[in-house]
Amino acid sequence: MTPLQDLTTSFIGRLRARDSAAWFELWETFGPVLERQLARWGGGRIGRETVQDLSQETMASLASAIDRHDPNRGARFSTWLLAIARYTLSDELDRRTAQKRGGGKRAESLENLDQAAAGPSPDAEYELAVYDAKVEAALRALERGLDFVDFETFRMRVLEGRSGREVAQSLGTSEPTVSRRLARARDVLRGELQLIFQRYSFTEDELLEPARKGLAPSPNKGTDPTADAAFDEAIGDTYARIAQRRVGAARPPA
Amino acid sequence: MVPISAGFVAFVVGTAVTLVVPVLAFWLLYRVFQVLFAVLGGGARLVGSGARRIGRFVQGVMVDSLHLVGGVITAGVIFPLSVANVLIGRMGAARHYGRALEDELMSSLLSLYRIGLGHPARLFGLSILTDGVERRIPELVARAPRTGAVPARRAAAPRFAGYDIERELPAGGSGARLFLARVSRDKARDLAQRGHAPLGKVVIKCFDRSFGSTLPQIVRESRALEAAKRLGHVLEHELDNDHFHYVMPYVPGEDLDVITRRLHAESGDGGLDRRALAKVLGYTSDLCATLERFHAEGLWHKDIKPANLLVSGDRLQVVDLGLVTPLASALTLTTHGTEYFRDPELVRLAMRGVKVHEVDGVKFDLYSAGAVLFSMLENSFPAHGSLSRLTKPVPEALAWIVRRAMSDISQRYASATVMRRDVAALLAAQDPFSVRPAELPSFRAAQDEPRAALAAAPAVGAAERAETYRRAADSSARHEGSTPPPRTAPVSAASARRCRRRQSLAAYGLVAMALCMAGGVKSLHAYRSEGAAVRPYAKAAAGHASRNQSVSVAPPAMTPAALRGKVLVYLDPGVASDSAWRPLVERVSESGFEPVGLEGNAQDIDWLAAVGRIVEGAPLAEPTTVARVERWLSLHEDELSAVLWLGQGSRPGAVAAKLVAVTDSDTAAPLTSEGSACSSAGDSLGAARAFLECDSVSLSR
Repeated sequence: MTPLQDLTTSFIGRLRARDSAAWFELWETFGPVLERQLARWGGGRIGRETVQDLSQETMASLASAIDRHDPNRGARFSTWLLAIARYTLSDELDRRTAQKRGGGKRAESLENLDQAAAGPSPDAEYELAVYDAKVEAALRALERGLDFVDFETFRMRVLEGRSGREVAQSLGTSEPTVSRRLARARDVLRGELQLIFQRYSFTEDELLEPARKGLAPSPNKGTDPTADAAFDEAIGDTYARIAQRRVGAARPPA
Repeated sequence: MVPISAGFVAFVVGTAVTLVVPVLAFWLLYRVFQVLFAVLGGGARLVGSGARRIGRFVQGVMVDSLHLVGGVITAGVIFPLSVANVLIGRMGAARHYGRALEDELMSSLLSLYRIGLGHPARLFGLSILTDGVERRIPELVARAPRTGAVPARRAAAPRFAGYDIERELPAGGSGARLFLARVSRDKARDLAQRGHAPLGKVVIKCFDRSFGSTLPQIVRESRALEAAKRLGHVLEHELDNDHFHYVMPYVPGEDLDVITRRLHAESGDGGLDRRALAKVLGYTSDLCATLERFHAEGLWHKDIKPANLLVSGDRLQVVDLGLVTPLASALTLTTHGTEYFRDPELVRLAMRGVKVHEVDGVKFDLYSAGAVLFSMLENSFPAHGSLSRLTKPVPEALAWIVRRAMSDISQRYASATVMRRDVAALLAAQDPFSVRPAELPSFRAAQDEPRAALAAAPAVGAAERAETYRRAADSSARHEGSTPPPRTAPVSAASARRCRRRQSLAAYGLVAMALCMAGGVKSLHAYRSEGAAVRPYAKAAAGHASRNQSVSVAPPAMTPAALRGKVLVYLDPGVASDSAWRPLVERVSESGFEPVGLEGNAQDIDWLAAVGRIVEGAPLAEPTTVARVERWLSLHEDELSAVLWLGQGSRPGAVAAKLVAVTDSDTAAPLTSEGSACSSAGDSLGAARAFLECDSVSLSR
C-alpha cells in the first residue's frame, strides 16, 4: 500500500469508525463546497436553508456510503464527494415531485455511487473549489500550529500582500524578524499541505495538484528565495479566490 | 588661467543638449504612453464590465421569463383541479392543490418582479435597492409570528399578575412566546422596593407546555436565572410544572444588524467613516464590558450575535438569555449557537461529548464578540471564521483585535477585560488609523510570545475567575441540584500536555542559550552547590519560616558583586498562571518593569523595584521565548548578573528556583552546574529573594 493510500485509508477508516472528529473535519472542509455546488445545481430555485439541509443530508448519505467505498477503484476524491451530493439532490427532487404529484419514484441505490463517481468529471469550477478547500484546511491547521504573531505576520505578508517593511512597522519589529517568522510559517504550511492533500486524495493526480499549482514542497526551502516567493504568490492567489468566493453570499439566519 | 573659448562653451552646451533632449523626449513619450494605456485599460475594463453586466441581465431575464411562463402554465393546470376538488367536497385535496397554486403564483410573481425591477436595477448598479427588497422582506416575513403551523400557539396570551400585555412580539427559536407589557403601579412599587430602576415596560418571555414548549427548553432557559437576576437582566421569574416565565426590562432600540447596515449606508462604499468607526468602537467596548459582567457572574452567554444585541441610545445592550449557561455547569456541552458567530471549535468539543466545565466558555463568547466586530466593520459575516478577510478599510489595530478575538482558542484573548482595554486604546486615540498593533496594550505580551500572553492572561482575570467559579458553582448547585466538579484546565488535557512539553523545552533551551552566551557576556562562571554557603539561605529560610515557608535545599553560592547588574528571571507558566500571583501585574507595570510574566506579591515587587534587578520574566516555554530571551541578553549583556528560573518544584505545590547562570566580571570560566532551592507553594519570588539577598555567598569554580 502506498503512503497515499495508507493515509487516505486511515482517514476513511476513522470515518467508518464514526469518529466524530473526522466527520466534523470533513464537514468543516468540504461542507461549504457542497453547499455551493448544490446551490449552483438548484439554479436559484432552492433556498439557502434547503441547501444547508441538503448538504447535511449529503454527509448523512456519505455516512451510509462510506462502508462500501473502495479507494482502489480509481475515482477522484472530489468526484466521489460530488456523486454523493448529486445523489442527495436528485433524491430530494424526487421526494418533492412525489409529494407534489402524489406519486413516487424509487431513489437511486447507494451501491451505484462509486460507479457514478467514475462517470464524467465535474466542471473545473467545482474542482478548483475542492482544491481551494484543501488549501483552506491547511491554512487553518497552520493557524492552529503557529504562534499568533507568527501567523499574523504570515497573514499580513502573504495573504494580504503587504510588504515586509510595512509588516515590520506594524508589529514593531525588524524585517529580518519578519522573514524568520515567514520562513517558519512556510515550513509548517508545506507540511500541512502535504498532510491534507494526502488525506483527501484518492489518486496520484489529485496528490500532485499542489505541485502543478505552485505549491510544491521546495527541495531548497528557505534557501531559494524565488521558490519561496512563488509559493507565497500561489498561496496568496488561492486565498484571494477563497475570500472572493463567499462575497455576496446570503447573510446567516438571524 | 586658461581662457575658455566660446567654441568650447558651445561644444559643451551642445553636447549636453544633445544628450539631455533625447532623454527628456523619451521620458515624455513614456509618460504619455503610460497615461494613454491607463486610460485605454480603464476603458477596456469598463467596457468588459458593462458587457458582463448586460450578459448577466439578458441571461437573468430569459431564465426568469421561462420560469414565469412555466409557473403560469402550471398554475393554469392546478387551478381547475383545486376548484374541482372543492366542488366534489374533497377539502383536504383542495387545500393541497390550493397550497401548490399559491407556491406557483408566488414563484411567478417573484420572476415577474425580477424581470421588471431586479435585473434592470442590477444592470444599472442599483443592487443595494434590490437587496433590500429581495433579502430583507423575505427575512422579515420569515421572522413574523407563525400562523397556522402551530395552532396551539394562537392561544390567548396568558395573564401575568402585575403586568398588562400590550402586544405579542416575534418569537425566536427557543419555543417561547414573547410579550411586551406595561408594569402596573403596584408592581412598579414592588420592583422599586427590590432595588430596580423605575420601568414603564417589560418583556415577558413565557414557556408553556400547552403551547408547545418542551421541558428541555424550560430547563435550559431557567438554568442561569439567578445569575441573570443579579446582572439586572431579569427582574423576576416564576416556574411551575407546566409553565415558566421571566420578566426582563424592555430595551427600546434596533438590533445591531440594522444599525450596521445604516452605518454603512451613511458611510458609503469606502468603509466606515470616522464617526461610524467611533460608534463601532463604542459598541464593542459596551459588549466587552457586558461580557465581563457575565463572566464575573460565572455565566457564558453562548449566543452573542448582532440579532441579540440592541442599540438603545448610543449604548449596546445584550438581550436573549436563551442559551446562557453557567461556566461551571456539569452538563454536556451542546452545539447551540449561531453559525459564523460560534467558534467551530465549540462544535468539535461538543461532538466529543465534553462537559461545559471542561471548556473555557469565556473564550467562546470572545470569539463571538470578534465575529460581531467583524460584521460591524464589513457589513457582512465572517464566512471563513478566523480566516475571513477584511475587505473594507479599517484601522490595522482594529483588524488585529478582530483576529485576536477569533484566533485559535489557545491564542485568543483570555478575557473580555483584555479585549476591552485594546478597544479602549483605539477609542482614546485621536486617529485610530495611526495606531499600530504593536501599540495595543495586549501586544507586548503577544509580540514575542503569544502563548505567554495567554498563560498570563488567564491570570488577568484569575482572581475574579476564582470568584466566578465559586459563584458559578453555587448557582449551578442551586439550579441543577448538583455540585459541579472543580473547573479543569480549559479546552483539553492535550493542550496542557503540549504546554508542559514546551515548558521543559524552553527551560532546556534557556539553559543552553545562557551557556552559549559565555563568550558574549563578560563571563559566565561555574559554581558548585557543594561550595555554597548556607548562611544566607538560612536567613532566607528564617524569613520564609515566618510565613510558614521553608527553604529545603540550599542554593548555590555567589558573590554579591556578581549580582550588581540585572537579573533575568524566567518565570515558569505553571507559576505564572497561579491565580495568587495575578494581582500584581498592574503593580509591575506601574513600577516600570516589563509586565510580561513577571508577577509576585506586593512585597516582592517593592523589593524588586528597590534592588532594580529583576527586569523581565518569560513565562512561557516556546521557541519564541528563547528568541526573546536571547534578544534581551544581547541588549543587556553588559549589565547581566544572573539568569534565574522559577517554576514548579518536584513536590506537588512546591515552587522551585534554579540559578541557571551567573556572570562575574573577574573570571571567565563557564558554568558547570546548577543549584536549586525549593520553598513551599506559592512564593517563588521568595525563593528568588533567597538567591538575591545573599551577601556572603562564595562562588566556586
